[in-house]
Amino acid sequence: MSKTLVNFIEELDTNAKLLETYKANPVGTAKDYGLSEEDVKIIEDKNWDELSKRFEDLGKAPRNIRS
Amino acid sequence: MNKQGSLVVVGTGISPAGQMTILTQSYIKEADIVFMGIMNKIGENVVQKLNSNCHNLDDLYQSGKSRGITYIQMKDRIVEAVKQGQRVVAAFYGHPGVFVNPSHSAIEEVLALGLPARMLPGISAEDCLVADLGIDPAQFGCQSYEATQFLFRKYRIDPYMTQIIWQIGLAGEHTHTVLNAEHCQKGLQLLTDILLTHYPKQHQIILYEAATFPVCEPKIEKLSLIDLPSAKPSLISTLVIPALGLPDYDEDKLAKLGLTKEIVIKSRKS
Ligand SMILES: C[S@@+](CC[C@H](N)C(=O)[O-])C[C@H]1O[C@@H](n2cnc3c(N)ncnc32)[C@H](O)[C@@H]1O
Repeated sequence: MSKTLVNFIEELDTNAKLLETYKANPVGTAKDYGLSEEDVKIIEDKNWDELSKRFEDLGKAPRNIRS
Repeated sequence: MNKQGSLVVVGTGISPAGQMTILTQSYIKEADIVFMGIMNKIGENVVQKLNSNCHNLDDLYQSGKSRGITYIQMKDRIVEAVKQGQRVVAAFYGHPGVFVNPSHSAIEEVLALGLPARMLPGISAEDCLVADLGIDPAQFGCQSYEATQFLFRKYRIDPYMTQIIWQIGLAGEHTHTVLNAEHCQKGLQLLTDILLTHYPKQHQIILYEAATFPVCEPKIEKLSLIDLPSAKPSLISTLVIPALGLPDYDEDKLAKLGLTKEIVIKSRKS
């Protein structure tokens, strides 16, 4: 079973060895990890807006309102 | 006898998984119920793997609805679960006590009920900023505040201190109803005018976004102060105005301590 981008991001954020490997070779590491072609493309294109669209909802960030 | 309810408020950090403390993870695991205000689906996923009884607070946000109401409802949900006798964890992204209203109000209310409540520290955007920008808040001292509150009230800037200005994407926004950063232009203009009374036009300032995914780098946009009004901050941008440097020694204060500038400089060197 191919691993998802969610698995990859979560593991990168908790595994120093994988993170260092990724930093040295982002696309190769993403491929070796088993990401789908579509997800590897996000890494290759540095398409962080797409990541944000998929996984973040900044409008729902808690916000301070003591003004 | 009924089980006694309790509340622990925790922070999940700015990145999705790696900035959660071991103790935070343990409290999440042990909780009867977990409420999440995390806004990052991968971060939510991490929390949900630790505890199957997780509930999102995000459904309470609605465009056009005041954040004030949303936060009271969040607080009520959290406190209600404690009243029912549950061991409750409320998890917010970053540090749960930094620029977050319902975390503090829930703790106050639970304590007022005579039940246990506490907050655990988390890694905030400012912690990431110190690391990514290499700014030590102790070097020049630091003033850290919220953009709109600063604009609305009679605060004073000390330009010899680093300024860390939060919620810059909402500068001047008073309705608490918007869910985007497209209404800050007037606020940025006013802030620029104020800053220009302290700093030169070309003073280099930084629009900063810590990486919220480990695949990317932080966004560090350097610009001249004069260009701030045309900047496009996001809802997670923080503005940094580096200090002008160290101010002169205050010889009067030194004299009151029985010191002179020369003595201080000499003892620093030896
Ligand atoms: C309501 S506050 C929440 C802060 C959060 N509790 C923390 O501990 O950092 C939202 C503000 O925090 C700052 N912030 C949040 N995420 C950030 C990020 N990834 N990078 C830089 N600043 C961020 C921005 O100033 C944003 O407007």
